[in-house]
Amino acid sequence: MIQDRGNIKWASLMLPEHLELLREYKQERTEQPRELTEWELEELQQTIDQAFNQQLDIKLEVWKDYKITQWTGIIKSMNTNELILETLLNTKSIPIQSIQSAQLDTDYYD
Amino acid sequence: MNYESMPNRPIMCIDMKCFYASIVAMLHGLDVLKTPVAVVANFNQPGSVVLAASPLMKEKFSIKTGSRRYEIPKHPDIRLFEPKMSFFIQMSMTITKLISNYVPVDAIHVYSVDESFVDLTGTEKLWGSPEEAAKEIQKAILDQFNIPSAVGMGPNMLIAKLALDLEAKKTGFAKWTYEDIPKKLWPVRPLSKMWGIGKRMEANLNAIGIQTVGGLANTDLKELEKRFGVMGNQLYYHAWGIDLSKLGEPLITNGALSFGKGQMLMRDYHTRKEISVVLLEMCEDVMKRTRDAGYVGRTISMGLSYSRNAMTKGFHRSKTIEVPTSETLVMYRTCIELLDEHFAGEPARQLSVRISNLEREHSIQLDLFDDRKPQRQIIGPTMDAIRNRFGATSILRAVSFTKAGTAINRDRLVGGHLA
Repeated sequence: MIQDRGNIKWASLMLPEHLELLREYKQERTEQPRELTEWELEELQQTIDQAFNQQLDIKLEVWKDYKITQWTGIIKSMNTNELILETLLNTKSIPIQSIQSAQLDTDYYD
Repeated sequence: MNYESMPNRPIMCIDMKCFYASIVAMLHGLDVLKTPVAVVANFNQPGSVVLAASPLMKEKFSIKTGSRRYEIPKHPDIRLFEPKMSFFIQMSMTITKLISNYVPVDAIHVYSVDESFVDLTGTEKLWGSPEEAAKEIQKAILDQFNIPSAVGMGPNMLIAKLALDLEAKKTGFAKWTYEDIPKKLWPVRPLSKMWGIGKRMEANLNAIGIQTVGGLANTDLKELEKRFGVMGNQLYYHAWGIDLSKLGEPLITNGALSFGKGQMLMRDYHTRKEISVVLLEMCEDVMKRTRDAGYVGRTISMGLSYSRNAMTKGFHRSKTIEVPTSETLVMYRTCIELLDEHFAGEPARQLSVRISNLEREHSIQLDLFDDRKPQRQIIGPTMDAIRNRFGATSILRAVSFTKAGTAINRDRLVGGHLA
């Protein structure tokens, strides 16, 4: 049986000052998306439902690769995991999990 | 050996060639490949070691890492520099950031200031085959920083590292597969040329008639396990190129957490009194870090190596105390006990202290017969706070001002070298 000691064997003699910088850097790069509160999730769902049912333009803030990107388009279809957003230029699938906020584009001009 | 179910990822291990020398050369606008450059720990000491030497320095003057200051000839072409540790670390970070333009941060494992593992899985669409990606990264580092590098590749971290150490360090690039192990790894001797085998393990293996890695691979696994335990198991599988470690797993887990420090003394320390001065300074530093992180610990270890001309080897021993502590003086007293038990009276050159068996500092265990404990519990954090605000040497114990003290001088150093 292989008794691999796993990653312990790769722990090397690193200077504490270097480790500290690396830790900071990794932290910075793996910033987690904001945890949404219950009422925010509820509002998110309502907005998305409305946009889908009435086929309205919607602006989504999506967390991906350590940063938030905005997408505007029409929701073509959706299930519990993801929605398909048709933007001006292409069609994207967006995981529901990674949506940080949603806003109807029409609300914008109120 | 059946390699079918073994990990098979495109892992590379990249090593910056003569890192320190390349960086000082870059800093001074010199071409590291055309100038004999060496980085010497300290100009003022003739016995000071060479930390890095450029290729020409190695070829023309046969000065390499580990040579001494006095061995370097006087020659108008030779350029000598002292280290700038904090800048070297910064450059290492910049290179890590450059690599993270090619792969996610989690796919990079920084192994030392000049060496990193990179998992190139999933980069095909962006950068072509893993070999192309690796060469692209090497090129980017050379173009941007004028730092040459060597890359070893393999199906796991171990083979990548072996390909680097045993082949790529000479050729600049090497890729090994499991099939290469018998022909490329097995002839390796002496055994300590292989990663993971030290001089002592080599002697142990030689003693039972094993001279090459192939010999190791063809030894009975049970026999190795009986002699060396888990390490025997690891040695055997390493000899077959097998390594199950996953790159990207978080490295530091709480179970193995400990705080420690070691230092090379600048001269021989002869007496218990002198050694204890440095021990106190080191305990203070280690315990400050322990307190800052909010831990208390029970196992205290101490190591001491004697000067090269001493008759005996050093020792490394530990003691576990009853009540977990973060008090400097408790650790110091334990170290002194260890010193008194094992010190052979020979000149000492190297010291290390460590506290492990840590637990979160939840509450203080009060002692009915020790009514000064609350006060002592406050003094440490108070001194820490002063140091955090005004610098490490703003408040020192009086011993640090004696001839044996090292704290004042070492404050200007990073990793034991000029910051």
